[in-house]
Formats: sequence, C-alpha cells, structure tokens
Amino acid sequence: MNHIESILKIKKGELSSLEYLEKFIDQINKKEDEINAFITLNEEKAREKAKEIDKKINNGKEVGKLAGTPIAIKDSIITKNLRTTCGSQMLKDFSPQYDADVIKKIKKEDGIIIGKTNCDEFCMGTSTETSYFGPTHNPIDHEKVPGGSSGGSAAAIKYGASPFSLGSDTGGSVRCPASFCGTVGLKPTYGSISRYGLIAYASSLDQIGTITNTIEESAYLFDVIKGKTKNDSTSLKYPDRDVYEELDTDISQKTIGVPQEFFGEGVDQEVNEEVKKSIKDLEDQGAKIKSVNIPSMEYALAAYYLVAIGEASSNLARFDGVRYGHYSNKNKDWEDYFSEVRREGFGKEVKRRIMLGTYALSAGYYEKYYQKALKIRTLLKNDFERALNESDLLVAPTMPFKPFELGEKIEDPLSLYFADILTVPINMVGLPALSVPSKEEDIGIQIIGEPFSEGEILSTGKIIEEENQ
Amino acid sequence: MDKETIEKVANLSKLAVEEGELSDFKDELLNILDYFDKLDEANTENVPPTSHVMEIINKMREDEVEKELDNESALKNSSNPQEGYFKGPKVRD
Repeated sequence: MNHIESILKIKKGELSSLEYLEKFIDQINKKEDEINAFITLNEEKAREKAKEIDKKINNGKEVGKLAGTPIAIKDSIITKNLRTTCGSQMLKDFSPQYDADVIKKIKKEDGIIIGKTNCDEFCMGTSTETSYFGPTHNPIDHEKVPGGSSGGSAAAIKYGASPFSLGSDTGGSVRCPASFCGTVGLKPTYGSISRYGLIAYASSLDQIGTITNTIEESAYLFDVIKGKTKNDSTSLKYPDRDVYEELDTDISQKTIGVPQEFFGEGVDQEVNEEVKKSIKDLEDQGAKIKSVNIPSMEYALAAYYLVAIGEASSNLARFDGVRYGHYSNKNKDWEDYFSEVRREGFGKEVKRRIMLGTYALSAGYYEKYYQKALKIRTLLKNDFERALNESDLLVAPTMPFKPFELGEKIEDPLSLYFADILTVPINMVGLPALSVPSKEEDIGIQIIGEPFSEGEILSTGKIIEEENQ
Repeated sequence: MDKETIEKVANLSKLAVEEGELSDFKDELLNILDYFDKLDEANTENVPPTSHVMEIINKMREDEVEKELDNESALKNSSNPQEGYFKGPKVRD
C-alpha cells in the first residue's frame, strides 16, 4: 500500500491517525526484538499526538502534509526531549534541548515521531554493527547486515515498523542500507536540506536523506523537509517547486550516462548484470544510453576517507564530558579527564577515525594527505561535470555486492571501507543520488543527477520501480 | 608510524590509549595509511583544492540577540552544573 493514500484518508477522516499508528506499533511488537531497528521507541507520546490530530480533524481543522503519519528518525538527528544517542555510549543518556530543523518541519506538518533508529556509532560504518546498542538485522535475511550507517531506518521501513523514515548520508549511509534492505533511499543535493541538529560527522559531506518503500513517498517526504533555513548557513534555496508534482515517467528525451568505472574491479558480476538489465529497460522506454567516464574514480575512496576523518577528528572534539554526554566522576586535571572520558565513551571505529584524522591533519602530513584529497575532490568534480554534460543523469550500482553476513567484515576495517567505493564519490561532489531496488530485492540501482535534479532522478527511479513490480 | 607517534596522535586526539591497545591500533592504522598512499600516484599538478562543493561565499547575517536556551535548559545534560555554570575539570593544581 502506498502510504500517501493513507495520509489522504486520514485527512478526510476516513482513517484515524491512532488506528493507523497502532498497525505499525503491532508490527514493532511482533518483530522489533529480532531486528533491533530502534534505539528508542516513542510509542506513548506518538499515541497522544495521534489522538490530538484525530481530534483536530474531527473538529474540522486543517492538518499538515504529514497528517498524523508515523515517521522513524535516525538517531543522528536530534529530537527535543527524546533521547538521541547517535549510536554511541558517549550520548547514551543525552536528551536534546531543541529539535533539528527537519524535525521542526515534520512536526509543523503533523508528522508523528515513532522512534529513533539504530545506526553505526556517529554514523561511522557500513553495516550498523558499530552501534553501542548492538547490530540491526536485515529483515530480508536476519543473518545479514542491513547496511549502514542508517541501517535502523532502512530495516524499520522494510519490516513495516514505519511508513516513512529519515537517515543521514556522509558517504552512502542512506543509499547503502536502502540498497541492502530493498528500499528507496534518497541522498539529496548537498545544501538542499538543513543540517542544523544533525550530529556532525563530516560537515562538507553530511546530508540528511529519506528512506521509504516507494519513490512517491520519497518525493513526498523530501518536499516537507527541503529548503534553506537560517540556522544552517550552507543550506541553499531550493527551486520553488514540489518534487512530488514533478514525477514524470516519460524518459524518451533523456540520455542516460553509464559511468564505466562503476562497473569495474571489485563489483560483483551479479550486481553488474542486474543493473544492466534495468539500464536496458530504460533504453526500451526510449532513453538514449551513453558510456561515460570518471577517470579520477580510482582515487575517490582514499580521498573521501581523508576528508571525512579529517573533519570528524575536529567535529568530535566537542565531546568532552562537561556540557553533555558521558562523564567521569574522577577528579583529574583537564587533559586526563577529557582523555579518559573519550576513551570510555567512544567505540573502536570512532577512535580509529579520530586518530587517523588527527594524524592526517598534523604538521608535516597535511599536504600529503588532506590537501591532496581536496585536490582529488576537484578532479572528481570536473569528471562528474563532464559526464553530466554528456548525459542527463548517470545510472550505476549502489553497492559493489549484496548484503554480507553479520560479523563477516567488522574485524577488517579496510575491507568494510571498500564497500563504500560507489557511494562516496557522490558526497565528494555534492550531487543528488538515489538508490532504488533492482529486480533482485537486495541489489540497488544508483541514479545520480545534477544539483537540484531530485525530480528527474526520482522520475527515472519510478520507471525502474514500475518495471520491477 | 611507531609507538611514539601513536602515543603522540592519541594525546593530540585526547584519547587515552592503554598499553595493550597500542599495537592493535598501530597495525590497523598502518594498514589504512598504506592504502591512502595510493593518492601519491595521482597527478594533481596545478589542481586547486576544493573544500566546499557548492561555491558559497561567506554568508553573513545581522548579529541580533534572539531568544535561545534558558540557563536551566542549557545545563540540563551537564554532569556537574554548579550555581548556573558548567563545572569543568581542574586546569592546574
């Protein structure tokens, strides 16, 4: 069922918001123990809010675009008076004093927060296994990872715990779990959604995105949360139009670019074949297919990690055990106190990235690592600009392989970093990208477009979605 | 990267690392740094760095006082608030 229809029914008074919410809570009660998609559930407050909205509707009052529909929020996005941990022991008891900009927008449109979803600690991971709160299981196959870092959001959507969800994507954290869990994940243009209240990992790459079951739902939710706000000076004015209204499945005038480097070494044959089948479907619908190249792709992963960990080492300096977060009762001088609190509060992968980032930014290494990575970023930007001059949008795999077993890669950090090889280049260049399931449920197809072309990439995703139904 | 470098980086990162963890960290970090060396192969002569992709120039706004968190709420998550302030660890004996 398309959940936008349910919203319309609630608005008309044909379906009560509370009744609708209870269906999802039932599903949570049945399956959450096995999946572990949520860190914190908000059922009681959600029920109160649903009753309020039902009352409003019964009294003939206007309700917002989300009209009493539940939404699951990744725990990297802060929610006023609702515990927000970012998957870390460091924030195990953190109760934010204000809402992120996206949460304000959702509440203004009468959306109901059903819970906070599991994620890799400080979003640093590709499998949701680095969470302090234990891994999330992939609803398609419980022995497999759901992808990450927004694994909880994608799993919640897949097992029917919520009709809508938000994730955040620094190097693929929305698209990867969307791909692994057979859901639709949209990482919009950098700056198109305010990051105010998103716990910072790497600020020049971070972007909030949506995870839903369908393309239409993704467009609908994106319209609610997009746009410039005064609290995020990097947020941009979005062209004045509703992406949902732009969905159009005529592709006959389009040229689809197929970036050859996305089908190369390290990408499983099975994945290549599935994606090529969908490209053929697009061709059959009248699109022109053109081979394009991203020559600097081979340096993208190393450059991405250097930028990400450099920014992370600086962003995570704020966790000092004084103003909020994990603390220690030991009476030590400031240097030992901070070091001890951070040793206790951060998990292994976070420490690894902070140390690497600190090293890469330190005197004598800055030029070799960080500065070099920023130059690769320029090359990538030029490559994508060229490819998108030769075509209207790019189609490629989202992940180089299908979901792997829980525990399979977690002991070998570098092998896990390689899983991000097809998603990180997009964050480096700030373009919008979508992951939509192929005919194989757990293989995602990535569609990449020009800045602010969310309508176009979602429309193309919709054709693939319809072909695969 | 030797043991001393790891200790120095841990200190700069304000992360206490126990003796037993040092060699693990060293091996893992070395492995990753080795991979980063791949960038040495890339020709970036005359290529300018990009730190922000959307070409935003400094954005300014009026410096106006707005209503933000009150004192009680700002201190709500603090482990050790005292007399309306955050109390930090001692800076010197």
